[in-house]
Amino acid sequence: MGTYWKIAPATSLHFKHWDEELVVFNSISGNTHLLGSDATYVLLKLQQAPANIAMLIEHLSIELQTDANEAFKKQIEQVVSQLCNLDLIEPA
Amino acid sequence: MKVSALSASELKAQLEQTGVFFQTGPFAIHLQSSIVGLAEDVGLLYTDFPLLEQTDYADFHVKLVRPQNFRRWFRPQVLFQFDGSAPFKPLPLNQVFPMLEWGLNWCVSSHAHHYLMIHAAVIEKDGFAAILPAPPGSGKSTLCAALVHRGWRLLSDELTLVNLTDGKIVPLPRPVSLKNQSIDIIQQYIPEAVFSRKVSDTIKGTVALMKPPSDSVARALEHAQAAWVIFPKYQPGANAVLEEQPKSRTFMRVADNAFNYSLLGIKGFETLAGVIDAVKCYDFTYSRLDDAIATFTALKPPSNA
Repeated sequence: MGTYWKIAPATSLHFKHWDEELVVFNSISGNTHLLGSDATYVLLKLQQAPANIAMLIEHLSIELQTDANEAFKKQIEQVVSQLCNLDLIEPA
Repeated sequence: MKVSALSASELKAQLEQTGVFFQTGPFAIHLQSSIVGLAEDVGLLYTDFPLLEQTDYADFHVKLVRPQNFRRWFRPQVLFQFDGSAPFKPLPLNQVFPMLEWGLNWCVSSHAHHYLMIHAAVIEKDGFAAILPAPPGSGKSTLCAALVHRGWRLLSDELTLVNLTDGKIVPLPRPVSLKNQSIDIIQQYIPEAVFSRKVSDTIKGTVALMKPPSDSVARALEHAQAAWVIFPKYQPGANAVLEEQPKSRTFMRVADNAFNYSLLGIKGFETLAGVIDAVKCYDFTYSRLDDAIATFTALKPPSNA
């Protein structure tokens, strides 16, 4: 099944979405992050509901109209890892 | 009543004795000093500023004094005091007026946390404000000095104050600090501008302060709606070019230029997000002031403003 991911406590994250990028303020850490389009899509998807990598690949490949190939999978895994390192998401 | 209502000797005496209480934007200043020459500078550049009748309250009590050591006679110095403490090392005595300005900027940026404070010039026209964040050497102050004599109102040349309650820009018009070649450039471009003496060998090179336009001081209570964030960059020989920037990137750049964005936490984030929502964002490259003024004259506020 793979690890399910969810966004960090909902009350701690504040978003501002412009075009395809996201500015996120984490009120627990006090940090502000600028997220590119890939990370924006993943974070906004996880904001709707927790998901594992496979679910993210399936949802986002349809939304972005792209092939769910190995490269895309690696891209999603990398984004998830980066978001986790930034304390914006955590295992559900 | 304005500072201009005091004669030179009255101003000097008052500075030496009880001090002078005057208003700069939203702040009441109590200034005391016996240093020779400061009264002339204050009388010249603060001539339009309102004197305060009440003399029992000020936001900032500041004094410029000569240190009580052997430096009173050998390479004399000046010390800036705030509420009885000296937050900086002393400077050479001839830098007394720039030190006053730097000290007042420090007072505001260190204490006025009921605003989001951005290190940026800000000017206004028809109720709409253009915020100009820029690092030293970008030509921000030169550009600002020219624009406020060509149809724009000076809100501040250094500190953009954003009201946390409504996101409006709060004016803080004070003397405009210019340095090195910029002084001669503006003196030639705006012959009617009034300047303090040039002071050389400061940490910023040679500096001089330009008197803020009287109208800007008179309208210091008129807040403005932010309509543009423009990052100016002087580049010799360049044509004037406005290049639109993404709002998300502009947010991060402005946050980096804000003195107290982190301190304010979620309120800082929300306030800045509100500003960026409302503005158009640009990088601006220029070399000729005429071109820059034409570019700014042609600016149109966002449709949602």
